[in-house]
Amino acid sequence: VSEPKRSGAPASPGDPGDAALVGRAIAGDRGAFRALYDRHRPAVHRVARAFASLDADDADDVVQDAFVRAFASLAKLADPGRFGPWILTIARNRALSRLERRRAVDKLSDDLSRESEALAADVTALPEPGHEAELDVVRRVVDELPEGPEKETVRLFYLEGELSAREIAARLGVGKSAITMRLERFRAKVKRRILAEVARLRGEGS
Amino acid sequence: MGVTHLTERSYLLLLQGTLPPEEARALARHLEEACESCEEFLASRPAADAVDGLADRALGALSPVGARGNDLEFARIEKRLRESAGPPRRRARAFVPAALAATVLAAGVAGLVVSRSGPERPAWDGVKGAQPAAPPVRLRFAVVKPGAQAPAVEKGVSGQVVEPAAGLQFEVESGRPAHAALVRVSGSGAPEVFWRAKLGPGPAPVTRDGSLAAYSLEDLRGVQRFVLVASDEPLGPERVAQLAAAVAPTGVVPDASALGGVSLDVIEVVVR
Repeated sequence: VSEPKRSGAPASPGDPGDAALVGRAIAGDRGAFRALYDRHRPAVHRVARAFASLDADDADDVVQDAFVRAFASLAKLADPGRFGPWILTIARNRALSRLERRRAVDKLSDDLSRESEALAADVTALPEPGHEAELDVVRRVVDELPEGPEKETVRLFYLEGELSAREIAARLGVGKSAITMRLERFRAKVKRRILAEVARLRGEGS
Repeated sequence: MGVTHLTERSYLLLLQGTLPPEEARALARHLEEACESCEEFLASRPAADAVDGLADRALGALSPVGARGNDLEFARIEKRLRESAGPPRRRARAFVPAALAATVLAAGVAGLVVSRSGPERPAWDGVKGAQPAAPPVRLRFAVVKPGAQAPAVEKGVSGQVVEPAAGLQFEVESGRPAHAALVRVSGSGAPEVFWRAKLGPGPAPVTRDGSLAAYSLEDLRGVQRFVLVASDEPLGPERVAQLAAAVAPTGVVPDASALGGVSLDVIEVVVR
C-alpha cells in the first residue's frame, strides 16, 4: 500500500483544516464551500463509483446530492472537524436511496428514513480511532486478503483507483452485482476492524 | 464469556456510547478476529451510518487522489443550494406583517418574526396564478422558554437546538380554506397526531380548547420533526400519520404531484 493522501486532512500544514472551513462556510464564505468541495469531492465520487449499478451520470448526481445536502445542513454538524466522514455517510446513503428508488418507487417511507439516518448519523458521537489507526486497519485488511477475485477487485478499485465498479465488471467480464458484492465484502472487513477500534476506545473510556 | 457476535442491540449501543465498558472490551476482542457472522451483519445494514463514514474515509487513504471537482459541477451545487434556501425575499417580506401580528397576539410579546431554513425546501407557491392542486401551507413556530417573571418567546428556526424545558408555539398559514393536522414524528415511535383544525385562509396560531398552548418538549430528546398536513378534504388519522411518517425523516417534502392533493410542511428541532 503506497503512502496515501487522506481525504479531509489538510494538504499541508499551512492549509486550513475542515473545522476552519466549515466555520467559514457557515458564515457565508463561498471560498470555504469551494475548498470543502475540492478537498472531499474525490472521496465522495469514489463512494458513488463503488456501486456498479450506478452509471457515470448517476455517480455525478450522487456527488451533487451529497454536497447539496451537506452544505444545507452544515450547522447541524456538531464537530466541524469531522466533515469528511459525515459527507461520505451522506453520499453512501444518497447512492443507496437512488438504487432503492429504482427497485421500488413507492417505498417512500423507507427511502426517506434512510436519508434521515444519514443526516442524523452523529459522527461526533464516535470516538476517533485516529488517522494512523485507520490506515493500519485498511493496510492489514488488504494484506490479509487471499489472492483471488476479491483482492483483484479491491486492487483495481481502491489501490489503482482509476476504474469505477462498473468499468471493473466490464474489464473482468463478470456481472456488476458480483463486483459490488466483492467491494462490499471487503468494506465489511474494514468496518469490522474499525468497529473493533471504536469498541476498544469505548472500553477504555470507563 | 462466550461468543460475542454483533447484534442490533450491541451495535446501536456501541454507536451511542452506552454499551457497558466490559461488553465493549469483549466486543473489541471479538471483532479483532475474522468473523463472517459479524461481517455479514455489517454488510447488510440497511443504511449507512457513522461507522461507514469512518470506513470510507479510511479506504480513501488507499487510493490515489481521484476525480477532482470542476467549476460546472460546483456551480450546479450552488444553484441548487440557492433554490433550496426558500422563497424569494420579496415574498418573504410580504409574509412578515401577518405573521408578526398573529404572533404578537398569540404570545403577548413583540418582535417575533418567524423565519426558517432547511434543506431542499420547495418554494412557497402562494395563491397567485393557477389554483394549486393542494392548499399551499406553511408551518412556523416560536420557542417558549420558562422564565422567572414570564415566559420568554423567540422566533423558531428549523433545525435549532432547544431545551427540554421549552415548548413550541406553532402557527400555520394556508393559502385557502383547508383541513389541517399537526403531527410529531421522532426517530422512534409512532407518529403523534396532536392537533387538527379547519383552517381559513391566512395565518392562525395553533390553539387547544380555544387557548394558546405551547407543545411541551418535556421527556423528548433528539430530533423531533413536526409535520403540517393539509388538504381540501378531511383526511383520516391513519392517512395523516402515514403521510407525516413518510416525509418526516428528512424534512424534505416530495413533489406536490406525488402527494395527491395533500400539502405538507415540516420543521424540526433538536431537543437536548
